[in-house]
Amino acid sequence: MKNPYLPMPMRIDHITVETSDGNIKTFTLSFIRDKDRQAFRFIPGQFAEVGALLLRPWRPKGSPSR
Amino acid sequence: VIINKNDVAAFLDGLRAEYRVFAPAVTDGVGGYRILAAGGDLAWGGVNTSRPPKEILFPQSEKLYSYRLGADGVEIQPHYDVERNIIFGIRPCDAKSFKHLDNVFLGQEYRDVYYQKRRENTLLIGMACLEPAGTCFCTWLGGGPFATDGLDLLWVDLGDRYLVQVLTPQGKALIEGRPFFLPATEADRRAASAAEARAKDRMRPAPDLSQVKPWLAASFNASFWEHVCEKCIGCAVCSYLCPTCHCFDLSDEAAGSQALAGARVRTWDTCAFPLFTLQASGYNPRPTGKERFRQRIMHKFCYFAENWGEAACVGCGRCIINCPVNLDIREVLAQIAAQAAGAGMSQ
Repeated sequence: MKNPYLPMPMRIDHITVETSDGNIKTFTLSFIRDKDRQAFRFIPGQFAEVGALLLRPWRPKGSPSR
Repeated sequence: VIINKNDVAAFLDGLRAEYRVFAPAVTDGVGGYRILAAGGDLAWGGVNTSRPPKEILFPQSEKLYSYRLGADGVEIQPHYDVERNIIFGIRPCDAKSFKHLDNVFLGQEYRDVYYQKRRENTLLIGMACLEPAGTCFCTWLGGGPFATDGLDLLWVDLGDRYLVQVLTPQGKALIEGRPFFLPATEADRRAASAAEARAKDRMRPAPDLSQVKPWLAASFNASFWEHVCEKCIGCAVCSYLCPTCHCFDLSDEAAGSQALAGARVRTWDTCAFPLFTLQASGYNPRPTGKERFRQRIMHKFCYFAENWGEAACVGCGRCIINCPVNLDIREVLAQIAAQAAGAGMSQ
């Protein structure tokens, strides 16, 4: 039985500081499990919950295939 | 068939060997459904419980899964409740509410497995309402004090015995092979029919609500909303005690002092609270009681009806009984029906 509440674990590959005050950053993430990477699809504007353990949510940006 | 009242405790004790049996009980002065202990007292009869049985399928707070950062990455452990349940003494309105919850949690592409496992493992033994309360209005919403929608068995109190109506194969299996059930007589059936007629006579007649949904669909910006909510203090007791309200929030709780271990927890939430829609930017699309009350009425009687063909209200009257400022949803519906009639929307 599929459980849509279960998260897909990811790794933070890279953090880019975007502004001089350091308040805006881009996080580049990759799936740890290959099956999650293959299953994940989104279209522009869609909202997904991305959480560091005990922190949430962020909006993903950028192609999932990259 | 019938069962004598003297045999009910033994029947339930037998069920307890195979099921977790929930039954109406009063805890700290509040009526709700509790797990029946051996020889436990039942608080059935009289009016319905203050707390609806929805918390058996959709608990007020539950751990969906635990997580821990281990040597091999994040470990996720979901927590499923797979016990077999019987809800004994559930009222027809509350049984109907489960069908509304089924639409929300099971009726779409993504199924809520936590709700689904409980629902599939739960049988409903209903108790007909002989004396509907003055706040009951199930007949306005297609229900009735003897309605069978969603039930596996319906019991009717005939004084020293219950007439048992078998409604599903699962309900039949519950009573088959147990020694307590005897054939009903024609007199039993006549007594139940008379009780049903008396119960229906006690219900306040339903106004014409046929134009409520179309009026709501056309009246998001009506001045009506400015005034109808004026006495609401936003305490949210109406939605917490509503058997069909189902909104929730998800949060993470750390496991003690371990920063990288914890649980994802689901907790009831409600559109009556400003924080429900407050966004991280500080903007709130429902900033005042007007927008929040409008959402409650719109969701129940317009959006839900549009999506699922029926309003998300079963007329149990809990919101009327427990509202601290006597905001009566029947009056709100009657006002909306009057607005519709005034706008030339009557049939």
